[in-house]
Amino acid sequence: MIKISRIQTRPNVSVPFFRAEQPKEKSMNLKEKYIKPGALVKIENLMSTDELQFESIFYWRSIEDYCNYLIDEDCHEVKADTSDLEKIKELNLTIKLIVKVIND
Amino acid sequence: MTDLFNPHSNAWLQNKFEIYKDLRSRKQAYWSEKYQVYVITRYEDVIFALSNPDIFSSAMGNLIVEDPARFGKTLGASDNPIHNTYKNIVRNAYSKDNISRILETVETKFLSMISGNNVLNMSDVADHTSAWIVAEILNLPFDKSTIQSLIVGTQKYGRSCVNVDINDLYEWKLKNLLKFFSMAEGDLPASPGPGIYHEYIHNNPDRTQAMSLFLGPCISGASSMTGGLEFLTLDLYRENLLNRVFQNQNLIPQAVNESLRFNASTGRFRRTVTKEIKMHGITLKPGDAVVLSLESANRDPDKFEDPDRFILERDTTGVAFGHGVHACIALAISKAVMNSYLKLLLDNFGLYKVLTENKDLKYVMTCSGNDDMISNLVIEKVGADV
Repeated sequence: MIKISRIQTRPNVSVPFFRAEQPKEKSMNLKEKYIKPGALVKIENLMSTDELQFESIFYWRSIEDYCNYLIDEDCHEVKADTSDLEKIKELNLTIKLIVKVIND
Repeated sequence: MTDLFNPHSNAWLQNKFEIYKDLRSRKQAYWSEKYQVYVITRYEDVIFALSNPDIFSSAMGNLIVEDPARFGKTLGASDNPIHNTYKNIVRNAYSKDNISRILETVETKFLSMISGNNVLNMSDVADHTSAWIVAEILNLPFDKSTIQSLIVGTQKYGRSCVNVDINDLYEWKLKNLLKFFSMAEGDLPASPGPGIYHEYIHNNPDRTQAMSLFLGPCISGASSMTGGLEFLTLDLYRENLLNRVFQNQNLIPQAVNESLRFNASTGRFRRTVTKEIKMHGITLKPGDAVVLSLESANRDPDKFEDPDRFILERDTTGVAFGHGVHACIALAISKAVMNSYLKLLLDNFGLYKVLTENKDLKYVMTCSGNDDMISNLVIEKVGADV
């Protein structure tokens, strides 16, 4: 199993964290295609005590499952560019993606 | 008035070498109103500009149509020291050993595309071959046929590549994958072997994050390789040299070199002037944008005798791969691929004729305006009963 942490850090509490908006239909597809078959095992969200750091943790069965999800248009809005990264930059947020292999 | 520099026009692309003759002979470098650039067309000037990156900077982009988000973030759109930092990370991916590995891997895929056919859409074959080559250069720890198909789709429909028939799906998928592999830290998947991913995780001590090191080969790398394969196929036939090369395959390397001079698939680069300088009858001022036309320089009669003839004995690529600091990192692999491609084509398909007439050639309308590819190059096996 792998753990993928997406850690957002903001300069102060008035800056909102970035949250990707997905239509309900896409979220349903995620449930059917990845959660029910056991590819996406669980999701955790953690806020630091000073509220400057927000960590979304995704536990995936394998990197391959995660990569298949990344390119699955049934589960995401297809966007013209990497606008998420642009929005994150605009909000003055820093973002880190950390992969950790977890022994089952 | 019609702009005499217009790489987003099929008519201009079909007739560009005649137009460049006119532009080179003018007293002053041509000012393109449409692109807001001076067009530098003479060999000596192009070499001077490429040799002096402190005067002709790439930091404000190298594409004819630029996106400021790229400035300083890509190999092409940066000056030193940033440029060298990026280059040093990926340099080993273009090593001789890795080129041999890639050619061996892609050979069977190429043969499966051409075998059993008497008529081939060489534009499709070149697209797919280039995408396989790039997928192998990246060598990501993910299904390579998926990566290859995303590169092909991005080349045909991605808005970073073309400005017609856009479908965002392929580029969106490709960028999502590349974003993950270029941003992630920690227990990253092991590299499956030599390539850009391997270098990125093992030869990147400062953990420089640059998705462009992956995306660049998928976009500009694949398109210039596709164009290179197409022009080689087209020009050998058009210039009546196919039979000679077929009879004596020792001439293949010379054919490849002369093809690159004769019809460089990456024809043009932008630069921004940083110091006042005189060139081709004008005084360029800091901030002026210029287009360095490699394809025009390669047809300059002051440098090349009888430049509009395809002469195998000439045996030089001219400035097809640029020059100086920004000389193309993929020079060796591009030439190796073209050599291997032509040999495999001649050995396994044989002599061919080009069915697409010159007047019917359709160029791909690239977003950048730098690269030239054809979308409808069809060849037929000589002697085939079709």
